[in-house]
Amino acid sequence: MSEDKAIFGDLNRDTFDHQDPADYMKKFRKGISEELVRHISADKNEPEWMLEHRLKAFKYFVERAMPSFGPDLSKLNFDEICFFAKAADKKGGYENWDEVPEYIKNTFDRLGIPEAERKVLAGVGAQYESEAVYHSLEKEWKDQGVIFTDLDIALQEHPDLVQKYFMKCVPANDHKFAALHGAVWSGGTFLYIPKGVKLEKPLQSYFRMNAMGMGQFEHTLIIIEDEAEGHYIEGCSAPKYGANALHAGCVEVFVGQNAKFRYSSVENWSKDTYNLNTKRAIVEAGSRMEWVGGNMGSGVTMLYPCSILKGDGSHADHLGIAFANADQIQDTGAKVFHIGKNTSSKVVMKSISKAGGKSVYRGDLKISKQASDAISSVECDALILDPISISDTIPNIKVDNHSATISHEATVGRINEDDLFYLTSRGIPMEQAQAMIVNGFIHPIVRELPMEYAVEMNRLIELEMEGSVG
Amino acid sequence: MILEFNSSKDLPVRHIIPNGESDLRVEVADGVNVVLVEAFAEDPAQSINYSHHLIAGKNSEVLVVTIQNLNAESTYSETRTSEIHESAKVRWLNIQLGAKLAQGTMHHHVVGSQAQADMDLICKADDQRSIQFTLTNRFTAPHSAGQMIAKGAASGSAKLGMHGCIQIDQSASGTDGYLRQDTLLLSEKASASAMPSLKIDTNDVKAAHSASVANVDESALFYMASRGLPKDDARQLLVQGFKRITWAFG
Repeated sequence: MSEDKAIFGDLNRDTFDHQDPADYMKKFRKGISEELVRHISADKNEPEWMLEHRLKAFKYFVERAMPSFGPDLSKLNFDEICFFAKAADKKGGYENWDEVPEYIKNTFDRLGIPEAERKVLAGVGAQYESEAVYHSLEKEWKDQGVIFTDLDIALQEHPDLVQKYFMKCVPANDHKFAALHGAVWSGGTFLYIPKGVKLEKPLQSYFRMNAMGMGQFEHTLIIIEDEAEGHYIEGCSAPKYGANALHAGCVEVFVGQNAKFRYSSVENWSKDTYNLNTKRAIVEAGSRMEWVGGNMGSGVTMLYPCSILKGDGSHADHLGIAFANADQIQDTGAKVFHIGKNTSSKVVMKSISKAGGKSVYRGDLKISKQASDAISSVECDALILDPISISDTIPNIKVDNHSATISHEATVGRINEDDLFYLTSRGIPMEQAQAMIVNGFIHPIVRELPMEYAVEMNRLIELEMEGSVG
Repeated sequence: MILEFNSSKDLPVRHIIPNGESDLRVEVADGVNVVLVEAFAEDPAQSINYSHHLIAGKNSEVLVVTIQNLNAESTYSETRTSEIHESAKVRWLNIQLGAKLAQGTMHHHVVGSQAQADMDLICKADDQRSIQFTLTNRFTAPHSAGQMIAKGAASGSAKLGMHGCIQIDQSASGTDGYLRQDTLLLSEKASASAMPSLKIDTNDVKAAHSASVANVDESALFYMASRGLPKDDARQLLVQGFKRITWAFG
């Protein structure tokens, strides 16, 4: 297969689980306190309003209760997590890949990031622990006014833009983990596409947690002005230690009028990570927001990308894959709020449960009173690969406007025996036949990813399928 | 109160649900066929809290038809549970037309294999009425099947909530479960909510659900109007057609 030549062709589980030495961790403490929040802000030399925002968020974090639904989070111990750590001392990272410290470079080289940049991307960012280590953007786009940088840098260089939008889409008192994020956020991406600029190539950020018991709280702030277009890809991974790591990132997307934006993510945290992420977009009139996501890793995932269709004629697409292997709970879904007139949304989710894993689709669809002529369709398909795995589907639909047209469909089942028999009778080993069918099952979503990432996704599925025939 | 059926009945048996709180336990012996029709005393303004438990023996066939058309001052609440044994066939047909506040839970529990557990719910929510129903089909034995169909129309400033769940335990391989929920939203002030969920703990099963919320199809209205049917009549016909379900049993 052509996979051998692909950038991610050599990936295997060890590539992601590999630990690099983390001597720099000795100087960072575990646990969270107001002192730490002040320390982070001072270390970054932040403006006064940001410190106030952090302290307010910290107060919400202390006050708010844990989520009342979904997976058990009682094993998550905030005192054992390091909320802020720096591996490199250079602020905002390096612009030239060669300058990045060797031990960090090795990690990303192994993951194929700089190679992908040369081949398919317009720009790349890389974050190691709490701060960005590398950001670059092709000159062509820089000249057109596109800003693609680390959010810490953006806060220094474009304070007005950041202040105008920062945590306006996901307020810090939204829920406990949004509050935690607001208090200790560090690093992340700032992307600004000015009016009318259409990015032809995708941009990418890669987030890596390397040290044990690490928490990563990157903030991604994306502003798409009127009539602009763009595509942003996010990748994540962390080595496996057996101790709990926490990822509570936040993604905010503001899509202006008649604009188009696609956000893709391939999430592959190690299986001892709690991935409690918040992603939300506000979509103005005539615009289109697309979420494409693959959730492969993490022990516990709670992630429900949300689109607020504020403007008339706006549209949202949510495409997602979740793979729950042994000891994994993939609690994912989509939230869509129709507020403007003539808005439409489409949700397609595919989940796979294996070896006792549990996948959950949790959806929320609301059509508000003024949202006339809204159209929405939700489709969830689940594959359960063995008798001990679990799949739940919990969509919630609330309609307050009589002109809406809503449909929801869900199916749960196993791999078709006839298909398996057909493939095995042609000499394909059982394990490979199953992987082929699973790859076919998720194909409608994978094909939306750029080619190189689709290959990575397929490769990840094959890795997860290993040992499935006992 | 306990209703025991030890032999098959050719004619439907009638049960009058009294005002206030009441309890009914229906025990159907192995191999017995029964049709039970539930109706209400014709009193003004009732407040009913009814609980119904059905035990369907092996190879039995049971149809329970409930038509609730209480007046607009009444309130109605029901809890309906069942225990369905091997190869039994049970169907609940529940039609909710009246009362200002109607709420209920319908819960089939399939404990025997090769059984069939169906339920149909039809709700008409108009004026300022509020109807909330939760339907559950739970399977703990293998190779059974069940179908749940809920249809409702909301008009005026009514609120209509229909929630359904198919729950298949690990012990219930070979189950075939289906859930369908359709809601017509006919006026500006009416609102609807739907939560069709699936909880599946094993793999050798078929489980599907679908839900829709919509107004009557404008193109169908136009088609009928262009053939000379007044628009209001056409609308009424479409609503009637929507609510129509197959009444045949067995």
